[in-house]
Amino acid sequence: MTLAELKEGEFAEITGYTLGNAAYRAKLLALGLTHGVQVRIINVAPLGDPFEIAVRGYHLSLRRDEVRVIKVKKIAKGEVR
Amino acid sequence: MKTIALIGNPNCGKSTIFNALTGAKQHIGNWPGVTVEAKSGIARLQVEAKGGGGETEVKVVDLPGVYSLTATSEDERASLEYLLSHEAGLYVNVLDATALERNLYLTLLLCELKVPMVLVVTMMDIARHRNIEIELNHLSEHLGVPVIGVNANNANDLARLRRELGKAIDAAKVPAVKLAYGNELEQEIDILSSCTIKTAEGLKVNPQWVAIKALEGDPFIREKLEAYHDMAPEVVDGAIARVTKVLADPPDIELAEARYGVIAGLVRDVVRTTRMKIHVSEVIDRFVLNRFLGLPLFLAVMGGVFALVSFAGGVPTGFFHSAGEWVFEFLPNLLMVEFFGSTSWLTAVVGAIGGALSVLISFVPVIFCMFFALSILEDSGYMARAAFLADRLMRWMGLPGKSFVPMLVGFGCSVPAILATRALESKRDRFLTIFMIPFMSCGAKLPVYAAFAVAFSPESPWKMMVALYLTGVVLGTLSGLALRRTLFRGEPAHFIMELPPYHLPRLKHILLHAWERLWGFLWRAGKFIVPVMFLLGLLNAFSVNGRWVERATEDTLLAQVGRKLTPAFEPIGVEPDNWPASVAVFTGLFAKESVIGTMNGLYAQQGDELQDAMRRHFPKGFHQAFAYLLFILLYVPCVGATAVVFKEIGKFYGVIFVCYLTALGWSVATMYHAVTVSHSPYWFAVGEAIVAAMFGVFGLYGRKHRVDML
Repeated sequence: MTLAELKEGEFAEITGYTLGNAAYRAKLLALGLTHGVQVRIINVAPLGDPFEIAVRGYHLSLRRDEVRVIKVKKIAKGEVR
Repeated sequence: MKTIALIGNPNCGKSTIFNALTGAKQHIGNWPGVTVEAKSGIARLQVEAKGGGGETEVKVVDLPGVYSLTATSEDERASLEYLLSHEAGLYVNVLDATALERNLYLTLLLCELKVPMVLVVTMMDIARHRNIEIELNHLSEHLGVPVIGVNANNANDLARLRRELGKAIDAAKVPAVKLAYGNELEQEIDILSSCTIKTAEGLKVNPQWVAIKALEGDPFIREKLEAYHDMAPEVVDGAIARVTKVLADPPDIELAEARYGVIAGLVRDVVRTTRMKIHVSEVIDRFVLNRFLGLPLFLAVMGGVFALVSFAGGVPTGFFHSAGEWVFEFLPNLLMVEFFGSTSWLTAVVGAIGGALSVLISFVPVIFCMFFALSILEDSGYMARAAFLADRLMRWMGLPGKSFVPMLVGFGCSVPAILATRALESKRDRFLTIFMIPFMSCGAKLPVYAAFAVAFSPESPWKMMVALYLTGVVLGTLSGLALRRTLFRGEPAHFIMELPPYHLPRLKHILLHAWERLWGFLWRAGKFIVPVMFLLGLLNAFSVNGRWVERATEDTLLAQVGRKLTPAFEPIGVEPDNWPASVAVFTGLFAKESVIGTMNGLYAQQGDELQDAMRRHFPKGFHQAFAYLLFILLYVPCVGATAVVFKEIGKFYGVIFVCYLTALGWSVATMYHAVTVSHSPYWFAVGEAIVAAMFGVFGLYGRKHRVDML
């Protein structure tokens, strides 16, 4: 599953990337969206897109159709580190 | 003089540190990416010497905020090039304590580059408030460079920072941290770094760094390797393929993971977090970005911004303009009459200079109010939320959420709107937004529309006005979509935006910031506005035979030009004897409301009331007037706005901007007139051909010159 499929309030762990635009990936990586990191969907904009995630202690907004390159696995709240 | 450079993530408090060190007036905002260009100032640092201490002056460069050093964005490329210039003897890496992990990523990139540096960790108090304790000494031991913690608003901290930096600048240390990337990557780095020596020597960096950048597939390093006749691209591609095969992921992913692995180790060691508190910002966002409250609140805030601009564009602009006229026109005129008599040509020249200055002055309130409003939004953190909320909406127009505010401001005045586009990181989006802003009818066009609406649609004037505003938005969108595919081709910009924590706007910073931006406008755009206005003023003050004309009449040179060009405006519905409408097009360059002022004055000389005269001069009624207004809506904006456009996008694209809008305005008005009034297939075809020809040329040009490569 990809980061694009998560709903508000859900937790996930990033498992990898499908290869897309290299410049976009470079930015996401620099921002800490690397393998194993946990993210949480905090808010979805009223028109459904973009959405806000919490990652490594700060907040980031991304567009749904662009984050399809990020593979994730959903985790339950109990597994959150 | 020694140089130190500030480098750090966007929004990390770097500008605050810069201002505190230099006292230089530079903008601070709570919106990622406000520093578009590197700024510099002079700082006095405390140095220790035998027999007491002293002060030393250093140059401080404030680099744009960046998250990394890949050359994919303008800001990152500028920072990378600055680093490779080796101008600075010391780098001050500024980090935000509340997001230490992400901030340390850039630190590790600087460690790889082996530049002398110190770390300054800001917002320690806010971090502590969130139960994050950072052991700075411990961090310093790990990295082998000094680490200084500060709260930017604390005067003691700043004095300490001056002392520490004074110490560090004489004994600048290169970080001693050893980064572990794992066997596979390290092996490749070793192999590659033996064939990057020429490049490394040329750039005065270590060969391992060049090898790492090459493995990451950085286009900048690829260029350099080629320029120095070093390692061939096939060798790099081979190494990338090998890593990808063995580790299952390309090296850029593996390297980023390795760095974040190192950071995780550091953070585990030096950061003590007790019970994480929920961000206050997160709680606020639950309301501000809420599905139900989000948009109404957004509309209310934007309404407030717009009201402020409209207010500033109304009452105070009139006042400033009158005051400007008094100081720069009437007063000098009185003095001139007193000393030289009333018909001196000198009076006219002085009058033209005065006219130019009073136009410049009339922009002061609207720009100040706009920047005041923008600064509040930026400083509080709401600006990023506005971009977040508007993004989906703006994508229908092919633009990101960040262009919403500039476009909205465009309905008030194009000048601050164009200046506000600086918040867009992508050059392509910025150019597209600037090309779209004139389509949003500014406040000065309103009186023109209103006068026509009352004359030609007396029972429901709002219909004509709404039609004009909507036509502007629709045409602007279509124009933007067409330009995106022709003149401004390029990679689509992805949307990655940090939502910074909220904080209370700081009045002092906001006023300072609004004042600086206003000053920047007056100084830089004024250099263009005043001479052009002066020239127009002279044309408007002298008659053909060189005589000075006291009041704007049909005899002035400008009026003569307008009269001569009347045939050019016939296809858009200007009757052959309606030369005042043609002259008004030219006086409209001073300010768009002059269109109606000129018509009023010139028709009055023919002894007509404005509305009757308008109806007489546009005998075919509504549609004929509407065609003319379409041209007024679209043709080149006033001199003030055009000056700012030239300053922001350069002469070349500035000239395209002026020609494009004027030709498009003329063509659209001609086509409308051909369909509704003259029923002339010939003129419709001419209008159509011009539009097609323009986009044809744009398409050919854009194919070769992509705007993201500028």
